[in-house]
Amino acid sequence: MTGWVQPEDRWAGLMRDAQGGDRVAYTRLLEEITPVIRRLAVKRWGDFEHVEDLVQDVLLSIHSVRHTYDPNRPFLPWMVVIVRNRMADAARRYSRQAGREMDIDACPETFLTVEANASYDGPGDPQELLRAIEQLPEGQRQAVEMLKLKEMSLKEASAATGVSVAALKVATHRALKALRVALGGGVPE
Amino acid sequence: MNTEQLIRQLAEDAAPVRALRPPLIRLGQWLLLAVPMVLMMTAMMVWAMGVRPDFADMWAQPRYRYELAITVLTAVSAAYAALVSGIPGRSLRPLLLPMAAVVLWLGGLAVDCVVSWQRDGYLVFHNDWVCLPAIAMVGFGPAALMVALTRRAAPLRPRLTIALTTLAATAMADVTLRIVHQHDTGLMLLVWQLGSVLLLTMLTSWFGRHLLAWRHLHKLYGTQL
Repeated sequence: MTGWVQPEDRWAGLMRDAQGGDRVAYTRLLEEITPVIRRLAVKRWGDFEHVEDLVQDVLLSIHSVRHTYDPNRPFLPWMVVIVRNRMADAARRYSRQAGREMDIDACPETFLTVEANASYDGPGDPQELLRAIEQLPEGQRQAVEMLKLKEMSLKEASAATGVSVAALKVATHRALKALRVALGGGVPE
Repeated sequence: MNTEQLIRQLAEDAAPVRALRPPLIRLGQWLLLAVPMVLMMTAMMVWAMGVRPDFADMWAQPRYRYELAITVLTAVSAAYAALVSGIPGRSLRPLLLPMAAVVLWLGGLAVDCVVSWQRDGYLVFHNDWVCLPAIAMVGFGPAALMVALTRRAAPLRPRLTIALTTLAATAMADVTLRIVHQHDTGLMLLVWQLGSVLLLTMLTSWFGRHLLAWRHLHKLYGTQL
C-alpha cells in the first residue's frame, strides 16, 4: 500500500511544478503515469489493439485540463477520473463505429449495368485535385495523402502519424466531403 | 507518433497554466456578474410592466418568502454543483443540494395545490405560456456566463453540467417573474414557472456535448467534431 502512496505524493509535486511550466517535471510525470494508464486500459479492455490510442488520448486529456488539478488534493483520484471518462467515451465511439462498419474481403469489380460504368469519366484534372488537397486542413491533408495517394493501410498510417485509426477515418471522410465540394461534386469516394 | 514522442511534444507545449480557482470562489464570481444581470432585467421588466400590484401583501406572507428563498437556494446550489461537476476527483455530493432544493420547491407547490383544493374544492388554472420565454430571456445571460466558467474545467459530464447551469440560471430568472408577474396559485406556479425551469433544464442538457468538449480533440482531428 505504501508503494502507491509515495508515487502519488511525488506525482502531486511534479504536477504542481508542471503547472508552473517546469517541462522536466512534466516529462517525468507523464513518463511515470503512462504505464499506470496503460494498465488501467488493459484491465478494462483486455489486450486490445487500440490500447495505445487510448493511452495517448488520456495523456492529451490530462494535458488539456492540467490546470484543474489542485496540488492540495490527492493526484491519483484526479487522474483516474479522467482515465475512466476517456475510456467511457472511447467505448461509445468504438461501438458507434462498429455498428456502421462492415468488413469486406474484396471490392466488387464494377457495376453490372452498362449505364453505371459509362457515366464514370475519371477524376478530372489531377492538378486541380492536388491544389484542392493542398487547401485542406493539416490533419485531413495528411490522411488523404497517406490513405488515398500513398495507398497506406489505416494501421500503417496510424503508426506513421500517431493519430488513431478512428481519427484517420473521420479526417478522411471529412476531407473527401470537402474535396467533393471543392471540385464541384465530380470526385468519387 | 508513438507515446514517447507524444510525451516529449506535450512537455514542449507545457506552458505555465493558471490553476482553476476553488468552486466557491468561482461561484462568487458568477454571482457577482449574474445577479446584476438579473437585477437589470428585473428593472427593465418593472419599468415596462410595473411591480405586481399585490407585492406588499405577498411579501408579508411567509409562504411567498419561503418560495423565493427556495428558488434562490436552487439557483445557488445548482451553480455550485455545475462548477464542481467539471473538476476531476471531486466528490459529487454537492449535486444532492440542487436536487433537494428542487424537491422542496416542488413539494411546497404541491402542498399549496392540496391546501387550495381542500379549501376551495377546485384549482385555478389557465394558459400562461409566456413564462417560458420570459424565464429563458432573463436566464440567458447568467447561463452564458456559467457556460464560460464551466468551459475552463474538464468536460467530464457535459449534459449534467449544462443541465445544472440552466437550472441555476432559470431559477434565478424565476425570482424576477415572482416579483413582476401576478399569478400565485400553486398549480399555475407548478406548471408555468417550475415547469418552464425544468423543461429548459432538460432541453438544454441535450446540447451538453456540443457546448463542453475535450479541447485537444479538435486539434487532433484538425476539425470540429
